Amino acid sequence: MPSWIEIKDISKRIDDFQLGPVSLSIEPGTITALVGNNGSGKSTLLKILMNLANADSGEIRVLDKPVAGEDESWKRHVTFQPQNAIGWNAYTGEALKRLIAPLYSKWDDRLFERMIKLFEIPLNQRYGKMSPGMQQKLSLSLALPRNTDILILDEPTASLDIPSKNLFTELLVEWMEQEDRAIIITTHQADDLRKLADYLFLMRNGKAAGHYEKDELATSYRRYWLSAMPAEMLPGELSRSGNELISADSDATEQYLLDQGIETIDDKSLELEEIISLLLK
Amino acid sequence: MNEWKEAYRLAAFELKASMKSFLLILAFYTAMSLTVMMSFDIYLKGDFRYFDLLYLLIFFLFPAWMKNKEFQMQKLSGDLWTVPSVVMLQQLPISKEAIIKSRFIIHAVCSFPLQLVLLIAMPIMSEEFRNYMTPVTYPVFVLIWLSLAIAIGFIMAASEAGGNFKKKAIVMSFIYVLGGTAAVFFLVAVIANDGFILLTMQLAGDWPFLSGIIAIVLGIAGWKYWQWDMKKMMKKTDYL
Repeated sequence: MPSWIEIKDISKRIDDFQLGPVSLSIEPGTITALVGNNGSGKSTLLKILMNLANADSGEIRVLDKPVAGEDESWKRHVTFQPQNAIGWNAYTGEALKRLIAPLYSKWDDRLFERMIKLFEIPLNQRYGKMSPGMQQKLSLSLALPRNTDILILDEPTASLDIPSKNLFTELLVEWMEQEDRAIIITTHQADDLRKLADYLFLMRNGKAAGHYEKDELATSYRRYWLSAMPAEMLPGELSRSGNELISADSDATEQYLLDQGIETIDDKSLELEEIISLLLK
Repeated sequence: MNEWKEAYRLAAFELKASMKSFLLILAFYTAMSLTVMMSFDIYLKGDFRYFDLLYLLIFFLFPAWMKNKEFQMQKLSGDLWTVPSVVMLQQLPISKEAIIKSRFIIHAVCSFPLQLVLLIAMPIMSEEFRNYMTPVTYPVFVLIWLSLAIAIGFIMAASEAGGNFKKKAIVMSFIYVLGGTAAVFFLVAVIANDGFILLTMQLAGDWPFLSGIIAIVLGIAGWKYWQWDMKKMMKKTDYL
């Protein structure tokens, strides 16, 4: 299946920070999480993807159209929710809906009303007067009902309380199941990654640090407590401390241990957060 | 055509949100402007040279200050200076042309009422002006000033595209603007001995047809040029 988003060798210099070159393909029916430390360039990459900033080199195509070209029709297929909504402060939720809804042919008013009710959003209040959590709830309620093919969410749950976060995850999963869609999400929330992501695209200091299938990643990393630690480096070995070993390739490590007759006292899979921390080190 | 329709919708959306403060500021600036206009007769008699500067300031700069703070140019992040609406609208499926046109409509709504008040106040408040102008030359005079309002004044609308400006560049551009204003004022004083407003009155009075045509051309050229310039700046700016 052809990619819906094709990011090819994108690079951008901003003062002392160098983003890229970064390449990434997003296919329909997938949720890709951009993961990285603060300042790793995730938001910048998304803004270049939305043609809000110019890349120094490389190209981004959305639905086979170059985002930096004259034809801006691809924007009708993309919903972008930035970390901070700029320019919304003066408007009420009701006014923002009046602005946004007519721009999308598949706008789902019922979903919007449902989300407003579930999140208990006061639509007559100005966005600028709302709490950060309420602002985020309103932004999400104005994002999902657009029903675009591609949804880009930059830290969508950072300010949400736990019940709202769970509610949003349920809504997003339900939304994703309706049609062939693609989501790019940046998040620091391990829960979001666990429940939502199919793929993880890791970024470190502006560079790509790996593109992984989440489930594969979760099963390949394992911690072992061994009866004796061999002197030589084991296949897949990532780190060791005393008799404790962390492997990034559990199959290869286990085969080696079996061949060498080294007994495993205990073993345990790593939490996703831990794996990401290791990869971003 | 669709772009214009969309632009009107966007402009109406923003103007509606700021209507109350817009009307208040308009009333305040109108009162201020009319107070200044009370000196117009003195200027025409040659006794108040600085009236020119005051008038130009009111005519071209007040419209840019007519908007609520939330809708004005501001530093958003890092070195990005722009109007928040320009960022907001670019994140939506709205063409750059429609965004630009909407900014121009908003600027027109903010500038033309005050500018028309100023132009209408001239014959009402000044006997000298009434004596100088005829029913033919006065509309040409108004046309000249409205064209200037577009050719010069719409730089304010175009500048809403913003840009990535370092502190040094901002200080330098401020110095250039001050220097440029002083140079223009000096040049006007040299070319038009009696002042800029009087020069335009003479142009309308002595060559009404020619100056009318030039004014129209200037207005159209300005209208097109500033839209092109704004699009160029929007493409160049990193809205990060």
